[in-house]
Amino acid sequence: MFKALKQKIATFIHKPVTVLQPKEFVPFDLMVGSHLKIDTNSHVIYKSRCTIPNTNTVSSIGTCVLGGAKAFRFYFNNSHFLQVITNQNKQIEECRLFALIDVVYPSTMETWDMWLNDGKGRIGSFEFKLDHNDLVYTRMSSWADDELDWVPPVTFTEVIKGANEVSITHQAMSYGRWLNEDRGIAEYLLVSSDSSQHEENICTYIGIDVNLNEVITYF
Amino acid sequence: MAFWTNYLKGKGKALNKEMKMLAAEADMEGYTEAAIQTQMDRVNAFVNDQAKAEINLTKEKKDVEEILQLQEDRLAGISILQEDIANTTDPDEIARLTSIVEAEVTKLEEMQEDIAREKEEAAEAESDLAEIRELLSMEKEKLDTMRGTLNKTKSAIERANRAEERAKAKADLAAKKAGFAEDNTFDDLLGAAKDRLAEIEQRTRATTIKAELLSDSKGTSSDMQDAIARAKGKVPTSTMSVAERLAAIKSGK
Repeated sequence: MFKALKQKIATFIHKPVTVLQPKEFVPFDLMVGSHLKIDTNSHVIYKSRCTIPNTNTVSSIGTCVLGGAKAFRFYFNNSHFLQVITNQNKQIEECRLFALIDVVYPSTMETWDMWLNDGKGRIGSFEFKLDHNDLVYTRMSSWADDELDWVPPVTFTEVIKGANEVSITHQAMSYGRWLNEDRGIAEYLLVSSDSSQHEENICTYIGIDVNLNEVITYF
Repeated sequence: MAFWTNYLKGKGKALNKEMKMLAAEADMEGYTEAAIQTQMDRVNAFVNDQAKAEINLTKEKKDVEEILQLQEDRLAGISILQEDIANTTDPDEIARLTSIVEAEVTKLEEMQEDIAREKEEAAEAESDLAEIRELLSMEKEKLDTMRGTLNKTKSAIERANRAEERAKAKADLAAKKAGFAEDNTFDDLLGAAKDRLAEIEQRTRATTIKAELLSDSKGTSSDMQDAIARAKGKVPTSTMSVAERLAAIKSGK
Protein backbone atom coordinates (compact mmCIF):
# COMPACT_ATOMS: atom_id res chain seq x y z
CA MET A 1 0.00 0.00 0.00
CA PHE A 2 2.80 2.38 0.93
CA LYS A 3 5.19 1.24 -1.73
CA ALA A 4 4.38 4.10 -4.09
CA LEU A 5 4.58 6.63 -1.28
CA LYS A 6 7.94 5.23 -0.18
CA GLN A 7 9.24 5.48 -3.71
CA LYS A 8 8.11 9.11 -3.93
CA ILE A 9 9.78 9.96 -0.65
CA ALA A 10 12.98 8.17 -1.72
CA THR A 11 12.98 10.06 -5.01
CA PHE A 12 12.44 13.34 -3.17
CA ILE A 13 15.26 12.66 -0.73
CA HIS A 14 17.74 11.42 -3.30
CA LYS A 15 16.95 13.78 -6.12
CA PRO A 16 19.97 15.59 -7.57
CA VAL A 17 20.65 19.02 -6.12
CA THR A 18 20.01 21.79 -8.63
CA VAL A 19 22.41 24.71 -8.29
CA LEU A 20 20.79 27.91 -9.43
CA GLN A 21 23.02 30.07 -11.56
CA PRO A 22 22.72 33.86 -11.36
CA LYS A 23 20.87 35.20 -14.33
CA GLU A 24 23.17 36.84 -16.84
CA PHE A 25 22.51 40.53 -17.22
CA VAL A 26 21.04 41.51 -20.57
CA PRO A 27 19.77 45.04 -21.24
CA PHE A 28 15.98 45.31 -21.30
CA ASP A 29 15.93 41.62 -20.25
CA LEU A 30 15.86 40.73 -23.90
CA MET A 31 16.35 37.22 -25.23
CA VAL A 32 16.21 35.53 -28.57
CA GLY A 33 12.59 35.67 -29.70
CA SER A 34 11.76 38.79 -27.66
CA HIS A 35 9.73 41.44 -29.38
CA LEU A 36 11.38 44.81 -29.59
CA LYS A 37 10.12 47.99 -31.18
CA ILE A 38 12.21 51.06 -31.91
CA ASP A 39 9.63 53.79 -31.54
CA THR A 40 11.43 56.75 -33.09
CA ASN A 41 10.97 59.23 -35.89
CA SER A 42 14.42 60.82 -35.50
CA HIS A 43 15.64 59.26 -38.75
CA VAL A 44 12.74 60.93 -40.57
CA ILE A 45 12.90 64.26 -38.77
CA TYR A 46 16.66 64.61 -39.15
CA LYS A 47 16.78 62.92 -42.55
CA SER A 48 19.08 60.05 -41.69
CA ARG A 49 19.56 57.17 -44.09
CA CYS A 50 19.10 54.82 -41.18
CA THR A 51 15.85 52.89 -41.29
CA ILE A 52 13.68 51.15 -38.74
CA PRO A 53 13.54 47.32 -38.96
CA ASN A 54 10.40 45.89 -40.46
CA THR A 55 10.26 43.17 -37.87
CA ASN A 56 10.07 43.37 -34.09
CA THR A 57 11.51 39.96 -33.27
CA VAL A 58 15.02 39.57 -31.91
CA SER A 59 16.49 36.78 -34.03
CA SER A 60 19.89 36.58 -32.35
CA ILE A 61 21.99 38.32 -29.73
CA GLY A 62 25.65 39.15 -30.15
CA THR A 63 27.99 40.09 -27.31
CA CYS A 64 31.52 41.40 -27.22
CA VAL A 65 33.68 42.54 -24.36
CA LEU A 66 35.28 45.95 -24.81
CA GLY A 67 37.59 46.38 -21.83
CA GLY A 68 35.34 46.95 -18.82
CA ALA A 69 32.35 47.60 -21.02
CA LYS A 70 30.19 45.08 -22.82
CA ALA A 71 28.40 45.51 -26.11
CA PHE A 72 25.16 43.72 -26.85
CA ARG A 73 23.79 43.53 -30.36
CA PHE A 74 20.16 42.60 -30.75
CA TYR A 75 19.71 41.46 -34.33
CA PHE A 76 16.28 41.80 -35.86
CA ASN A 77 17.32 40.07 -39.04
CA ASN A 78 20.37 40.35 -41.26
CA SER A 79 19.74 44.02 -41.92
CA HIS A 80 19.38 45.71 -38.51
CA PHE A 81 20.67 45.48 -35.00
CA LEU A 82 20.28 47.55 -31.86
CA GLN A 83 23.66 48.01 -30.19
CA VAL A 84 23.61 48.61 -26.44
CA ILE A 85 26.85 49.27 -24.57
CA THR A 86 26.87 48.83 -20.81
CA ASN A 87 29.49 49.85 -18.28
CA GLN A 88 30.87 47.85 -15.37
CA ASN A 89 27.85 48.82 -13.27
CA LYS A 90 25.61 47.36 -15.97
CA GLN A 91 24.31 50.80 -16.79
CA ILE A 92 23.57 51.62 -20.38
CA GLU A 93 26.10 54.02 -21.82
CA GLU A 94 25.05 53.93 -25.44
CA CYS A 95 22.05 52.76 -27.43
CA ARG A 96 22.21 52.86 -31.23
CA LEU A 97 20.24 51.39 -34.03
CA PHE A 98 22.25 50.27 -37.05
CA ALA A 99 20.93 49.46 -40.47
CA LEU A 100 23.01 47.52 -42.99
CA ILE A 101 23.46 49.59 -46.12
CA ASP A 102 26.18 47.73 -47.94
CA VAL A 103 27.92 44.34 -48.03
CA VAL A 104 31.01 43.65 -50.08
CA TYR A 105 32.44 40.18 -50.66
CA PRO A 106 35.97 40.92 -51.83
CA SER A 107 37.02 38.33 -54.36
CA THR A 108 40.56 39.49 -55.00
CA MET A 109 43.56 40.40 -52.91
CA GLU A 110 43.43 43.86 -54.44
CA THR A 111 39.92 44.42 -53.13
CA TRP A 112 40.88 43.20 -49.66
CA ASP A 113 43.89 45.46 -49.81
CA MET A 114 41.72 48.44 -50.69
CA TRP A 115 39.80 47.92 -47.47
CA LEU A 116 42.44 46.65 -45.08
CA ASN A 117 45.78 47.88 -46.43
CA ASP A 118 48.12 48.62 -43.59
CA GLY A 119 48.55 52.38 -43.75
CA LYS A 120 46.03 53.34 -46.39
CA GLY A 121 43.06 50.93 -46.26
CA ARG A 122 39.59 52.48 -46.26
CA ILE A 123 38.86 51.03 -42.83
CA GLY A 124 40.90 53.24 -40.55
CA SER A 125 41.18 56.31 -42.73
CA PHE A 126 40.43 59.69 -41.17
CA GLU A 127 37.42 60.27 -43.40
CA PHE A 128 35.06 57.83 -45.03
CA LYS A 129 32.99 58.65 -48.08
CA LEU A 130 30.18 56.41 -49.20
CA ASP A 131 30.47 55.35 -52.82
CA HIS A 132 27.10 56.50 -53.95
CA ASN A 133 27.01 60.02 -52.52
CA ASP A 134 29.23 62.81 -51.35
CA LEU A 135 28.47 62.57 -47.68
CA VAL A 136 31.64 62.55 -45.66
CA TYR A 137 31.89 60.79 -42.32
CA THR A 138 34.72 61.56 -39.92
CA ARG A 139 36.45 58.92 -37.83
CA MET A 140 35.14 58.91 -34.27
CA SER A 141 37.63 60.40 -31.85
CA SER A 142 36.52 57.85 -29.27
CA TRP A 143 37.92 55.12 -31.52
CA ALA A 144 41.21 56.68 -32.62
CA ASP A 145 43.46 59.71 -32.34
CA ASP A 146 42.18 62.63 -34.45
CA GLU A 147 45.67 63.68 -35.53
CA LEU A 148 46.51 60.47 -37.36
CA ASP A 149 45.58 60.11 -41.03
CA TRP A 150 45.20 56.40 -40.72
CA VAL A 151 44.87 54.01 -37.81
CA PRO A 152 44.61 50.23 -37.84
CA PRO A 153 41.02 48.96 -37.53
CA VAL A 154 39.85 48.01 -34.06
CA THR A 155 39.73 44.25 -33.79
CA PHE A 156 37.25 42.49 -31.54
CA THR A 157 35.38 39.22 -31.43
CA GLU A 158 31.62 38.95 -31.26
CA VAL A 159 29.78 35.81 -30.23
CA ILE A 160 26.32 35.64 -31.73
CA LYS A 161 23.75 33.29 -30.23
CA GLY A 162 20.60 32.53 -32.14
CA ALA A 163 19.55 29.37 -33.84
CA ASN A 164 23.28 28.57 -33.85
CA GLU A 165 26.27 30.08 -32.13
CA VAL A 166 28.66 31.95 -34.39
CA SER A 167 31.89 33.70 -33.57
CA ILE A 168 32.82 36.65 -35.75
CA THR A 169 36.07 38.58 -35.76
CA HIS A 170 35.55 42.22 -36.61
CA GLN A 171 38.16 44.64 -37.89
CA ALA A 172 36.15 47.80 -37.68
CA MET A 173 36.14 51.58 -37.53
CA SER A 174 33.37 53.96 -36.56
CA TYR A 175 32.64 57.25 -38.29
CA GLY A 176 30.05 59.97 -37.87
CA ARG A 177 28.54 63.16 -39.15
CA TRP A 178 26.20 65.71 -37.67
CA LEU A 179 22.57 65.66 -38.68
CA ASN A 180 21.86 68.56 -36.35
CA GLU A 181 24.95 69.77 -34.55
CA ASP A 182 23.03 72.25 -32.37
CA ARG A 183 20.94 69.48 -30.93
CA GLY A 184 23.76 66.95 -30.94
CA ILE A 185 21.98 64.65 -33.37
CA ALA A 186 24.50 62.52 -35.27
CA GLU A 187 24.48 59.79 -37.83
CA TYR A 188 27.05 57.03 -37.50
CA LEU A 189 28.80 54.82 -39.95
CA LEU A 190 30.24 51.49 -38.92
CA VAL A 191 32.54 49.83 -41.41
CA SER A 192 33.69 46.36 -40.55
CA SER A 193 35.56 43.48 -42.07
CA ASP A 194 33.75 40.47 -40.65
CA SER A 195 35.35 37.08 -40.61
CA SER A 196 33.62 33.92 -39.44
CA GLN A 197 33.96 30.21 -40.06
CA HIS A 198 31.47 30.51 -42.91
CA GLU A 199 32.23 33.78 -44.68
CA GLU A 200 34.32 36.90 -44.91
CA ASN A 201 32.92 40.22 -46.03
CA ILE A 202 32.93 43.97 -45.55
CA CYS A 203 29.75 45.37 -43.98
CA THR A 204 28.75 49.01 -43.76
CA TYR A 205 26.05 50.08 -41.33
CA ILE A 206 24.42 53.45 -40.73
CA GLY A 207 23.23 54.21 -37.25
CA ILE A 208 21.41 56.72 -35.09
CA ASP A 209 21.15 57.21 -31.35
CA VAL A 210 18.01 55.86 -29.80
CA ASN A 211 16.62 57.21 -26.56
CA LEU A 212 16.06 54.41 -24.05
CA ASN A 213 12.45 55.48 -23.80
CA GLU A 214 12.07 54.78 -27.49
CA VAL A 215 12.97 51.13 -26.96
CA ILE A 216 9.70 49.33 -26.38
CA THR A 217 9.90 45.68 -25.38
CA TYR A 218 7.18 43.07 -25.70
CA PHE A 219 7.67 39.53 -24.53
CA MET B 1 7.58 14.84 41.73
CA ALA B 2 6.73 18.40 40.73
CA PHE B 3 8.94 19.66 43.48
CA TRP B 4 11.95 17.72 42.20
CA THR B 5 11.26 18.83 38.65
CA ASN B 6 11.10 22.48 39.70
CA TYR B 7 14.07 22.04 41.96
CA LEU B 8 16.20 20.57 39.18
CA LYS B 9 14.98 23.24 36.76
CA GLY B 10 15.90 25.93 39.24
CA LYS B 11 19.29 24.37 39.78
CA GLY B 12 19.82 24.12 36.06
CA LYS B 13 18.95 27.77 35.54
CA ALA B 14 21.18 28.87 38.35
CA LEU B 15 24.02 26.78 36.96
CA ASN B 16 23.46 28.22 33.51
CA LYS B 17 23.50 31.75 34.89
CA GLU B 18 26.66 31.05 36.80
CA MET B 19 28.30 29.57 33.72
CA LYS B 20 27.34 32.66 31.72
CA MET B 21 28.68 34.95 34.38
CA LEU B 22 31.87 32.96 34.55
CA ALA B 23 32.22 33.06 30.79
CA ALA B 24 31.47 36.78 30.75
CA GLU B 25 34.01 37.44 33.43
CA ALA B 26 36.55 35.19 31.77
CA ASP B 27 36.15 36.73 28.31
CA MET B 28 34.60 40.14 28.85
CA GLU B 29 36.90 41.66 26.25
CA GLY B 30 36.08 38.92 23.77
CA TYR B 31 32.37 39.61 24.15
CA THR B 32 32.74 43.35 23.73
CA GLU B 33 35.01 42.89 20.71
CA ALA B 34 32.39 40.56 19.23
CA ALA B 35 29.71 43.21 19.82
CA ILE B 36 31.90 45.80 18.08
CA GLN B 37 32.49 43.42 15.18
CA THR B 38 28.73 42.94 14.88
CA GLN B 39 28.31 46.71 14.81
CA MET B 40 31.08 46.98 12.20
CA ASP B 41 29.22 44.44 10.09
CA ARG B 42 26.09 46.57 10.39
CA VAL B 43 28.06 49.64 9.31
CA ASN B 44 29.53 47.73 6.37
CA ALA B 45 26.06 46.57 5.36
CA PHE B 46 24.87 50.18 5.39
CA VAL B 47 27.93 51.24 3.38
CA ASN B 48 26.95 48.66 0.76
CA ASP B 49 23.35 49.85 0.90
CA GLN B 50 24.54 53.41 0.40
CA ALA B 51 26.64 52.39 -2.60
CA LYS B 52 23.63 50.61 -4.09
CA ALA B 53 21.39 53.58 -3.36
CA GLU B 54 23.91 55.94 -4.99
CA ILE B 55 24.03 53.76 -8.10
CA ASN B 56 20.24 53.60 -8.10
CA LEU B 57 19.97 57.37 -7.74
CA THR B 58 22.45 57.86 -10.61
CA LYS B 59 20.34 55.51 -12.72
CA GLU B 60 17.08 57.24 -11.80
CA LYS B 61 18.56 60.66 -12.49
CA LYS B 62 19.84 59.38 -15.81
CA ASP B 63 16.37 58.03 -16.58
CA VAL B 64 14.91 61.47 -15.87
CA GLU B 65 17.56 63.15 -18.04
CA GLU B 66 16.92 60.60 -20.77
CA ILE B 67 13.17 61.11 -20.87
CA LEU B 68 13.45 64.91 -20.62
CA GLN B 69 15.99 64.77 -23.45
CA LEU B 70 13.51 62.77 -25.50
CA GLN B 71 10.81 65.31 -24.74
CA GLU B 72 13.09 68.13 -25.92
CA ASP B 73 14.10 66.16 -29.01
CA ARG B 74 10.49 65.53 -29.88
CA LEU B 75 9.55 69.18 -29.41
CA ALA B 76 12.52 70.22 -31.53
CA GLY B 77 11.64 67.55 -34.09
CA ILE B 78 8.09 68.88 -34.35
CA SER B 79 9.47 72.39 -34.97
CA ILE B 80 11.71 71.04 -37.74
CA LEU B 81 8.82 69.10 -39.27
CA GLN B 82 6.58 72.18 -39.14
CA GLU B 83 9.28 74.18 -40.93
CA ASP B 84 9.54 71.43 -43.54
CA ILE B 85 5.75 71.51 -43.98
CA ALA B 86 5.87 75.27 -44.41
CA ASN B 87 8.64 74.96 -47.00
CA THR B 88 6.99 72.39 -49.24
CA THR B 89 4.07 72.55 -51.59
CA ASP B 90 3.86 68.84 -52.28
CA PRO B 91 0.54 67.76 -50.75
CA ASP B 92 1.72 64.15 -50.27
CA GLU B 93 4.82 65.28 -48.46
CA ILE B 94 2.75 67.69 -46.36
CA ALA B 95 0.36 64.87 -45.48
CA ARG B 96 3.24 62.52 -44.60
CA LEU B 97 4.99 65.13 -42.44
CA THR B 98 1.72 66.17 -40.81
CA SER B 99 0.98 62.59 -39.82
CA ILE B 100 4.45 62.37 -38.25
CA VAL B 101 3.84 65.63 -36.35
CA GLU B 102 0.54 64.27 -35.05
CA ALA B 103 2.23 61.03 -34.02
CA GLU B 104 4.97 62.96 -32.21
CA VAL B 105 2.46 65.15 -30.40
CA THR B 106 0.55 62.07 -29.29
CA LYS B 107 3.79 60.56 -28.02
CA LEU B 108 4.57 63.79 -26.17
CA GLU B 109 1.17 63.70 -24.48
CA GLU B 110 1.55 60.05 -23.54
CA MET B 111 5.01 60.47 -22.14
CA GLN B 112 3.96 63.12 -19.59
CA GLU B 113 2.83 60.39 -17.24
CA ASP B 114 6.18 58.63 -17.68
CA ILE B 115 8.06 61.86 -17.00
CA ALA B 116 6.11 62.36 -13.77
CA ARG B 117 6.79 58.76 -12.75
CA GLU B 118 10.51 59.00 -13.53
CA LYS B 119 10.77 62.22 -11.52
CA GLU B 120 8.93 60.60 -8.65
CA GLU B 121 11.24 57.56 -8.74
CA ALA B 122 14.29 59.84 -8.77
CA ALA B 123 12.90 61.76 -5.77
CA GLU B 124 12.27 58.47 -3.96
CA ALA B 125 15.79 57.27 -4.75
CA GLU B 126 17.16 60.56 -3.39
CA SER B 127 15.05 60.21 -0.26
CA ASP B 128 16.15 56.59 0.20
CA LEU B 129 19.78 57.60 -0.14
CA ALA B 130 19.35 60.41 2.40
CA GLU B 131 17.72 57.99 4.83
CA ILE B 132 20.48 55.40 4.39
CA ARG B 133 23.12 58.11 4.84
CA GLU B 134 21.47 59.22 8.07
CA LEU B 135 21.24 55.65 9.35
CA LEU B 136 24.83 55.00 8.36
CA SER B 137 25.92 58.11 10.21
CA MET B 138 24.05 56.93 13.32
CA GLU B 139 25.50 53.43 13.08
CA LYS B 140 29.00 54.89 12.65
CA GLU B 141 28.47 57.12 15.65
CA LYS B 142 27.31 54.13 17.66
CA LEU B 143 30.39 52.19 16.59
CA ASP B 144 32.64 55.09 17.58
CA THR B 145 30.85 55.32 20.94
CA MET B 146 31.23 51.58 21.48
CA ARG B 147 34.92 51.77 20.67
CA GLY B 148 35.37 54.78 22.95
CA THR B 149 33.42 53.14 25.74
CA LEU B 150 35.41 49.94 25.38
CA ASN B 151 38.69 51.84 25.53
CA LYS B 152 37.49 53.79 28.56
CA THR B 153 36.29 50.58 30.21
CA LYS B 154 39.60 48.88 29.50
CA SER B 155 41.43 51.81 31.08
CA ALA B 156 39.06 51.75 34.04
CA ILE B 157 39.61 48.02 34.44
CA GLU B 158 43.37 48.50 34.30
CA ARG B 159 43.12 51.31 36.85
CA ALA B 160 40.89 49.17 39.05
CA ASN B 161 43.32 46.27 38.78
CA ARG B 162 46.19 48.51 39.73
CA ALA B 163 44.16 49.97 42.63
CA GLU B 164 43.29 46.48 43.75
CA GLU B 165 46.93 45.46 43.68
CA ARG B 166 47.86 48.55 45.63
CA ALA B 167 45.08 47.89 48.13
CA LYS B 168 46.24 44.30 48.50
CA ALA B 169 49.80 45.45 49.08
CA LYS B 170 48.58 47.98 51.64
CA ALA B 171 46.46 45.36 53.31
CA ASP B 172 49.43 43.00 53.48
CA LEU B 173 51.55 45.73 54.99
CA ALA B 174 48.85 46.63 57.47
CA ALA B 175 48.47 42.99 58.36
CA LYS B 176 52.20 42.73 58.95
CA LYS B 177 52.11 45.86 61.06
CA ALA B 178 49.13 44.60 63.00
CA GLY B 179 50.84 41.24 63.43
CA PHE B 180 53.87 42.99 64.90
CA ALA B 181 51.77 44.92 67.46
CA GLU B 182 49.61 42.03 68.50
CA ASP B 183 52.32 39.40 68.78
CA ASN B 184 52.38 38.82 72.63
CA THR B 185 54.06 35.47 72.45
CA PHE B 186 57.12 36.70 74.20
CA ASP B 187 55.17 38.51 76.83
CA ASP B 188 52.97 35.51 77.24
CA LEU B 189 56.01 33.29 77.64
CA LEU B 190 57.54 35.80 79.97
CA GLY B 191 54.31 36.02 81.94
CA ALA B 192 54.19 32.25 82.12
CA ALA B 193 57.77 32.21 83.27
CA LYS B 194 56.95 34.81 85.92
CA ASP B 195 53.96 32.83 87.03
CA ARG B 196 56.12 29.77 87.11
CA LEU B 197 58.68 31.67 89.16
CA ALA B 198 55.99 32.88 91.53
CA GLU B 199 54.71 29.37 91.78
CA ILE B 200 58.20 28.07 92.51
CA GLU B 201 58.75 30.84 95.05
CA GLN B 202 55.46 30.08 96.68
CA ARG B 203 56.22 26.43 96.76
CA THR B 204 59.69 27.17 98.12
CA ARG B 205 58.21 29.37 100.80
CA ALA B 206 55.76 26.68 101.72
CA THR B 207 58.58 24.18 101.94
CA THR B 208 60.56 26.58 104.05
CA ILE B 209 57.65 27.13 106.38
CA LYS B 210 57.09 23.45 106.60
CA ALA B 211 60.76 22.94 107.32
CA GLU B 212 60.65 25.62 109.91
CA LEU B 213 57.62 24.08 111.40
CA LEU B 214 59.23 20.75 111.52
CA SER B 215 62.56 22.03 112.95
CA ASP B 216 62.97 23.58 116.48
CA SER B 217 65.79 25.72 115.60
CA LYS B 218 65.84 29.36 115.14
CA GLY B 219 63.58 30.66 112.67
CA THR B 220 60.69 29.05 114.47
CA SER B 221 58.11 31.52 115.45
CA SER B 222 58.06 32.62 118.98
CA ASP B 223 54.59 31.29 119.48
CA MET B 224 55.58 27.96 118.05
CA GLN B 225 58.76 28.00 120.14
CA ASP B 226 56.77 28.74 123.15
CA ALA B 227 54.43 25.92 122.39
CA ILE B 228 57.36 23.57 121.86
CA ALA B 229 59.01 24.78 124.98
CA ARG B 230 55.93 24.30 126.93
CA ALA B 231 55.51 20.87 125.48
CA LYS B 232 59.08 20.09 126.48
CA GLY B 233 58.70 21.67 129.86
CA LYS B 234 60.80 24.57 129.08
CA VAL B 235 59.94 28.15 129.78
CA PRO B 236 59.90 30.26 126.70
CA THR B 237 62.67 32.65 126.49
CA SER B 238 60.38 35.43 125.80
CA THR B 239 58.95 35.18 129.26
CA MET B 240 62.35 34.93 130.84
CA SER B 241 64.42 37.81 131.91
CA VAL B 242 67.78 38.40 130.39
CA ALA B 243 69.46 36.90 133.43
CA GLU B 244 67.27 33.85 133.28
CA ARG B 245 67.92 33.45 129.66
CA LEU B 246 71.64 33.68 130.17
CA ALA B 247 71.45 31.10 132.93
CA ALA B 248 69.46 28.85 130.79
CA ILE B 249 72.04 29.12 128.15
CA LYS B 250 74.78 28.32 130.43
CA SER B 251 73.06 25.33 131.90
CA GLY B 252 72.32 24.03 128.41
CA LYS B 253 75.96 23.84 127.40
